[in-house]
Amino acid sequence: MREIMIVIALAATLDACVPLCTAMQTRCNGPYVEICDSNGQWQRVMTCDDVSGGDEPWVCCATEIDGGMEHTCLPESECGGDEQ
Amino acid sequence: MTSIDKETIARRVSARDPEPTPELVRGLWRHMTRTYGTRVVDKDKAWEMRLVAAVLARMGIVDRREFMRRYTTTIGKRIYVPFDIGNSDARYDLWGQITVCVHEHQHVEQLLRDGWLKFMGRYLLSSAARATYEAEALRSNLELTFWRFGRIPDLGRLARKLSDYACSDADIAMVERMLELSAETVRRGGVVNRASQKAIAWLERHAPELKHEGSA
Repeated sequence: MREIMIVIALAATLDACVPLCTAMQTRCNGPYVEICDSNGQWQRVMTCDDVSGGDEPWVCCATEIDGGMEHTCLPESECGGDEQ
Repeated sequence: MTSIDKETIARRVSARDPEPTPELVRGLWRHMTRTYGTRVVDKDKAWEMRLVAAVLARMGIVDRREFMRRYTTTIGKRIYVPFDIGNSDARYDLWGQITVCVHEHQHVEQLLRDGWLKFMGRYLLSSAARATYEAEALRSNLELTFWRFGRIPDLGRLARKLSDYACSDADIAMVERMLELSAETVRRGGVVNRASQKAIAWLERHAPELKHEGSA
């Protein structure tokens, strides 16, 4: 049992070290906007469900920012069906 | 220029760019500390802050005097402030005291959301995680600036504040990108941070004249 626990702990530790993404990459993960940090791990930027203001729901979607495609929270009508 | 002209200009300037009052600043701090159950502590008189300052100075992270005079520090629900709330000084004007109030309470939101262990562990052990927490709190600065002035502040400058938090250049670049993503939401009238939502709701009730007309 103890060996299994050690293997699980090691696997979890190694998993946290394996790069999952390219630094500065962004994505939508459900309602979450996420960015890839310099260690290749996803970090949460914001939760679109938490955004207040305006009359419509805010959703995570891809949009052009400074000439590149990025992800952020936008009002649903501005998302143009390009969610995720 | 006649005295009437001068008076007219003064009124116009005043009407265009009203300033927060000391009472307003104290009122907001009171509201936020009651809402979150936080306590404000005079940093200069806190022995534990002098201890932290000494440790950080020994580690070469920040100068002891600078830490005590420049930085507001939140540990748990205690907010250590290096200024007298409601009294403007060279480092913290009244609007700056409002911004700091919201920024620090967003850190309390993080603590409530993630729990003590996760928040403190990640904040202290991982510079990338620390940068992420600070980026979120800096978003409050962005949201308040947009609410009051209708413009997005210099995000690069905001992100570079993290060079004082032992964050790497890569972390700072990530924070700037995070703020850029947030700015797209804020420009459209969105307010993301809960501490900002609570503070802005209070400011709209008590100082609507401070709000920029175009900030939704």
